[in-house]
Amino acid sequence: MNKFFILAYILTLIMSYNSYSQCCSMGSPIAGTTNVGIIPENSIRTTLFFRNSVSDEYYREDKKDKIQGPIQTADFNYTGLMIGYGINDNFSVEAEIGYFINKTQDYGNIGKLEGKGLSNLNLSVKYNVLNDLDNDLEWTIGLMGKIPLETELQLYNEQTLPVDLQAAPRAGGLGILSFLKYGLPSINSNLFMMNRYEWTAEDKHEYQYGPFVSTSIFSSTKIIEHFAGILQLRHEFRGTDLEKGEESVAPTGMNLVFLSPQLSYTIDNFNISALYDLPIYKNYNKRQFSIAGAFSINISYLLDLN
Amino acid sequence: MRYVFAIILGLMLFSCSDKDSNKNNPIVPTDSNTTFSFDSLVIDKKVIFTDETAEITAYARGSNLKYKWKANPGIVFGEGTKVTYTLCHEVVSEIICTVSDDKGNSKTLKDTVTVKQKL
Repeated sequence: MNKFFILAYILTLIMSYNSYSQCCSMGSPIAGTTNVGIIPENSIRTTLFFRNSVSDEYYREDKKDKIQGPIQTADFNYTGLMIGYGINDNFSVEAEIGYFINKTQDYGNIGKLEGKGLSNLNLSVKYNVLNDLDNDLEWTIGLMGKIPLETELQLYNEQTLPVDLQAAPRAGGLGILSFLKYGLPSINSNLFMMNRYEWTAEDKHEYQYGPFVSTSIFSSTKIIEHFAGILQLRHEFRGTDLEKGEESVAPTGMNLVFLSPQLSYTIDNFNISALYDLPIYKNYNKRQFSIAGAFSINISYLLDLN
Repeated sequence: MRYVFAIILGLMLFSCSDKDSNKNNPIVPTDSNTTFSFDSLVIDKKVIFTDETAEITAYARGSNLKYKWKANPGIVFGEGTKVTYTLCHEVVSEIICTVSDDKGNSKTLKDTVTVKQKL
């Protein structure tokens, strides 16, 4: 059972929701392995996570732009809470809510712009399609609904803040998740592949976030008792945003590849994990302010109601 | 005599530096008890690059004036008579300033700033 908990927690750290944020910006609050696996029957999994992301230079397509400015640095701090319940060993339901403590762009002497607030409420159902114990193969799929909690735009001196400083899209959406696990017991490791697709509807201001697709491959290995090391390679694609049905004025859309080392500590039903997202490839549509890196910490607890 | 000369020289220097500061920071008549008028919107650089800024000054007269700024697209930084505009991508942005006083008078002036990218 303990092995299952470790696995569940590792998954809990590899991916979280709310994958928006655009142009002149700082990446998504997607953390590590959050909220992917199935929750054991009649159990509640609670996960609290925090993420800090920093951006520090402009990119033009896949190269650092010779011309920097006007933004000097940008960062966000995001905290989220996820609660899931295992209806049975093949089917679970989960809810997630997050809050941007700040989304800040520093323009040096000119000033700073800052947004904050609630992200969407995400509700998901997950179903374990395949659980082949003989070959240690597991496949889980999920469907997610995104419900906007804030519908009004955030302002600075009565002016609308840039879209990348808004806490969340002001529209609902849908997501599809897939999680595949292949065990390698001979070397005490597991291989995982996760896919995620998100679509966001147009908001009442006729702005629509581009689609988001994420694919990650990672391996977990037990280091010593209670400690596991995880190395993740993740690709994120974001399509261009639309304004009134046409490509947004501010450049949006990107391809990013991250290498994310992670350390996880599990004891009984409690887990804490930390990871760092290091971008190893960045390719932006036109010129955008690019992510330098992100740090996340996750705390999970699994309550067995049996 | 020497002291008189020193005082005169000091006054001249003070006078010069005061003139210079006026040249760099033009006096913007605001909040005086005169008839309301919003005379002009002055942009120091009509074309800027993405790593530059434009200073925009509203010249208005009246009592208890209020300034409301807007850029489309982008954000105008600051408040009051003099603000700053910048943006990180190419665009022709409309700068809109609405000045109003406490007697219900209001006037809006617009101008544009072109943002270009250095290649």
